[in-house]
Amino acid sequence: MNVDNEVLDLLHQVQLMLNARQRAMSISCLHESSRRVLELKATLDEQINFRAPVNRLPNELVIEIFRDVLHENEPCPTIALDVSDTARVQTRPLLWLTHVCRRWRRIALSHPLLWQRVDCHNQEQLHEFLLRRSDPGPFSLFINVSKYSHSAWPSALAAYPNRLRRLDVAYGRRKDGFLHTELMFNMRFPNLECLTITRSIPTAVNRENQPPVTVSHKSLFCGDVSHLRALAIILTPHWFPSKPLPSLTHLFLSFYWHSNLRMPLLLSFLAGVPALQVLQLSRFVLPPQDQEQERTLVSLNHLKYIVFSHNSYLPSSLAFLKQIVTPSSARMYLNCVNIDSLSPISILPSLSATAETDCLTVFTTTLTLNLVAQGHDSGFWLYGRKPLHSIDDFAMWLTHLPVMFPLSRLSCLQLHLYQQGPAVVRILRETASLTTLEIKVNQYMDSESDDSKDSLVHICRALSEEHCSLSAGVAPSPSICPSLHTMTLVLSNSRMTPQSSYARWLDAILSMILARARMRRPFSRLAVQPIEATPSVFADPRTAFANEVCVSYAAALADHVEDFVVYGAKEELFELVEPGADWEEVERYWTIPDIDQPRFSHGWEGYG
Amino acid sequence: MVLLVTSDNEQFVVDKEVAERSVLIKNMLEDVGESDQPIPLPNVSSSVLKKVLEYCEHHRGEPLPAADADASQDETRKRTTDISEWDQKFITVDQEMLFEIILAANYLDIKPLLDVGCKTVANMIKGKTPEEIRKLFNIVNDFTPEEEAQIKKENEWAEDR
Repeated sequence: MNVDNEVLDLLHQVQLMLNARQRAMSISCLHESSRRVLELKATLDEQINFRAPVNRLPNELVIEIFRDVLHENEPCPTIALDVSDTARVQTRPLLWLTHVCRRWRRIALSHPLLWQRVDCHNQEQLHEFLLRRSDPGPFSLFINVSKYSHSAWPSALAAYPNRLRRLDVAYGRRKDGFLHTELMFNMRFPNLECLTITRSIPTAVNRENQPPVTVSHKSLFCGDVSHLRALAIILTPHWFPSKPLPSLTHLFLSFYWHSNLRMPLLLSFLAGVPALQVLQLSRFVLPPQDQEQERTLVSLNHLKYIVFSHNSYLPSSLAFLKQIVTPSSARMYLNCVNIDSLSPISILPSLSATAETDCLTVFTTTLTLNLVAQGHDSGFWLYGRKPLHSIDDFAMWLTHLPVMFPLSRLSCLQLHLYQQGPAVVRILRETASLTTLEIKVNQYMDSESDDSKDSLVHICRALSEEHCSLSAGVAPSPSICPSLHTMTLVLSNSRMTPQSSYARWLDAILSMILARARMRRPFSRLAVQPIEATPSVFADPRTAFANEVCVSYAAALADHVEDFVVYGAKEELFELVEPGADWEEVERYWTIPDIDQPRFSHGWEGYG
Repeated sequence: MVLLVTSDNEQFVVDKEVAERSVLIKNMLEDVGESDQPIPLPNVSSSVLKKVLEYCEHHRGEPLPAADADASQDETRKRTTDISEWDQKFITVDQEMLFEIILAANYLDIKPLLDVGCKTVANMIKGKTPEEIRKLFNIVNDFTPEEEAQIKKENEWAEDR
């Protein structure tokens, strides 16, 4: 008899016996029998589950899968810095994994790292997670002050101070001094690595015409902060850490209240964080007198990123940058308002992050300016906005580009300027080493009748100019961008553009190609988009006509350029460079609020 | 070229560059040196190895993850469950094959393929209730009444309040 038959036969006999004797059984025996049957059922079901393909995976792979499942749901290892009043640790996905079958539950319960995220508002859960499931591993505590009550204060927390690695306090609308006093100033958590305090509100928020909120120095966690690696304070409250933080690598500070937190205090604090790698200052603004401060020069030798975000004030940001020394490889992001408030001379000094610029993108709209500069190992991004009433059209900025960036060293340039052709040509005259040019020309701003005011014609003529050598027998060379061999040309034009304009532009482009060829500097690649459709500036609606234009451009130009491409109206071939893919490092400990993300305007908001 | 022999005795002749996507095979080749000896893979069937080699061929030449990648990726670093379009298409197989590929990737030490497999399973699980997960993987509820009572209690913690 094989095993299957043997077991089934045995069960049949048990069933027969139960049928015959159940009436004679005592109630306790019935209960006990029922319990054992259920246990037996669980054992058999567990055996069935072992045969499921998913359960062929070893425990370590099941854990990997669990961690992948949880990565989006759990706020650990990262937490969003813009937590809402209703925020709490989402334990449902984790708990549900333990409710699938006994094996999954055993695996999850035996892996303390899965249970390290503890929410303070449910005391029973807190004790279960803290004392049993995450023990003896490290844990992270999330306290949502708006849901927190003193009666739930975890005594266990004080009993295991060495296990706390991360503390996230979200204040919401509560102004509760208890946590500050008891938790952050009076308790010791010697292994704490990350502290985030979000939506904190100073106890005395100043109103108009009142003196600034006084910021006092406080010694965090009784001064035992040697392991603290990441600190985010949103918004900066009425206290500021007083002790040096030797291990701190990530710092996020959001400025909002008019406080007396001034440049000297900030710089003295930064002097105590020598390991800093990522510094983000949100809504950064300092009083004007701080911007004129003598240079003290704080060295941040390990800095990889410095970010001024959420409409920081450009003069304050630049004044701050003058006070610190950073490696040239440190990436710099500035998202600033009122960028027209600077005098032209001090618009943007040559910075360590711009000194090695190899590729530059300049993109203006009526209200915004985007500058993206990248070098072999450096990066600089500026998104600036000026007030609606300002009449400045960023002309000063464009004039000063050679001071800000080493234009003569550029190999790649991307231009989309709201300004007309002469402004573009002025820049091109400085770019002696340029090999690649991508340019979007706003033709709808030009006079249709006056050839000399046509931006594209102006640019093409400039690129066709000959530089005549005084030496006899030397062939002429281009006087502008002599090394240029790759060009992308996008014509942004209006629906009212007359057909004759397209012919004029084609002539200008063809003349330029032929002139460069004559000077033995032909284009190896030329991409042209004669009609560009954009969200707010519609291309010529006559589709058939648009196709005809593309065909005529291709027919006239293709034979003269080794690699020629003509693009249709709705193809996107002019894209701004986004911040580097390694932005992940900036969000290593937390997720940056959308408003503090360095998103650069691709846009058309200025035209609307 | 490298000769691989599967558990069902099928032989595969593979470019060394492709075979060395597997750290296990790479190490074996380094240990053995230049040799025509076949490499036995007793834990991998021919149908699974065929799929694994398809993956290795597609990703040929891509940089291999650093040997200490795991150690350096500490607990604070973010995870992602994004999978490239090709990988998604590649891993669209029945469950039996999916788990066999994961086991093979684990055995052969092909970390990127293992990641794709684990992330695929994770994406299948995400957002599903325990009952839906059981149904998905042909699992039965094997909890005892006592365990069920504890689970019911735990569900209160999971409520969003």
